[in-house]
Amino acid sequence: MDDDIPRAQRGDLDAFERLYRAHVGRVNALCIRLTAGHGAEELLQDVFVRIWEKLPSFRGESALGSWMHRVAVNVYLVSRRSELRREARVVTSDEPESLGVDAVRGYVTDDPDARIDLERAIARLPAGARAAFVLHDIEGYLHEEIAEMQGVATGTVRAQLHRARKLLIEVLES
Amino acid sequence: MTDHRTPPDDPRLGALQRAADDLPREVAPAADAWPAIRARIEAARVVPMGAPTVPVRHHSSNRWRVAAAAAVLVVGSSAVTVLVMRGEADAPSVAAAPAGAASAAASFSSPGATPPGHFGAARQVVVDVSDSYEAASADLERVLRARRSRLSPSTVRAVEESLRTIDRAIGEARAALEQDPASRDLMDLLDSVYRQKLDLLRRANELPLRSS
Repeated sequence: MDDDIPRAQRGDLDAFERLYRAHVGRVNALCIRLTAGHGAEELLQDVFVRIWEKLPSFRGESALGSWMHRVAVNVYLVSRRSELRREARVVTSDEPESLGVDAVRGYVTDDPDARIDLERAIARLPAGARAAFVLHDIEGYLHEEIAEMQGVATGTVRAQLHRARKLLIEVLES
Repeated sequence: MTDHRTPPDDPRLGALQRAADDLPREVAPAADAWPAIRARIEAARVVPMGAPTVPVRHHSSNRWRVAAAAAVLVVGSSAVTVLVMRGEADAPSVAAAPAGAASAAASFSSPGATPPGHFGAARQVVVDVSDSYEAASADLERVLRARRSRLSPSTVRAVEESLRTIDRAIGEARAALEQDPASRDLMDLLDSVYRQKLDLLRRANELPLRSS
């Protein structure tokens, strides 16, 4: 596997396929959550084509998986930047019913279905709030990192995250 | 990317955070995306930045082939536009249109020098690339159909006319590739037209809706 990185950097597609197969699960999970499933397959393809293009610039300063992850986030945010900025300016309804009350019922139980319910609830969040929640609360990015990647103020990310959490909790309690 | 979160005072936030932590970090794709990714990389000849490159020989025949195919695409697309403007619904079929492209491509290709099996593999690349783009287009077209009734009629007309023109160009490029599947220049054209279609659909899906 270690040899596959320099091989892929030199243009070896078979080596790149092995890297793809080793990392596709994590990248795909991110794509599905960021897009709420709409266009996730296309995003996954775009991400790996971009990773292929940028691979020679990978210097091993971080784990390859983390680097790929960041490329994936950038591809998504660049493609949706205008939409996310527009949403940040025009705050829509925070009414919990808009999310679907049943979507997150039981998410703190041990029921295996609860995880699916939480996934569905996240998918129903507005795009900006969803991106903030996925990147901060699930993936562990800093507010500042998200703001820089998204091209918005840090305060906007904090507001989106607050909004996402508020919506999810309100739905849970309703 | 580090886990920098502090335990929240609000127990509800804590529960939400624990639930988020329990979500799976890996999800296998529903279908293997690798064939489509590989096809896109090969079709677009996406060479990693900084990788050693092989000099490309630009034969004059290649330039002629691109020029001929591009001309057919432009003429064909313009013809469709004129037909649409005249309101003629029974435009000639896509398959019949690119005879010029086929003959142009055939006259500049030299299949006798092509290794056995090369055309078969090249045709498969065309199919894979087309399938990939068609799947992406289908998703966007579904969104567009859902929004259609809330767009202005003039916008709908403009978008649909443009889509018909692009679809005609796609059909012509694919037909030309049928005759010369190993032509990377034609493949680039097909890739470019598909990208135009996706871009148009994405832009159309971002257009403001009329208030109901």
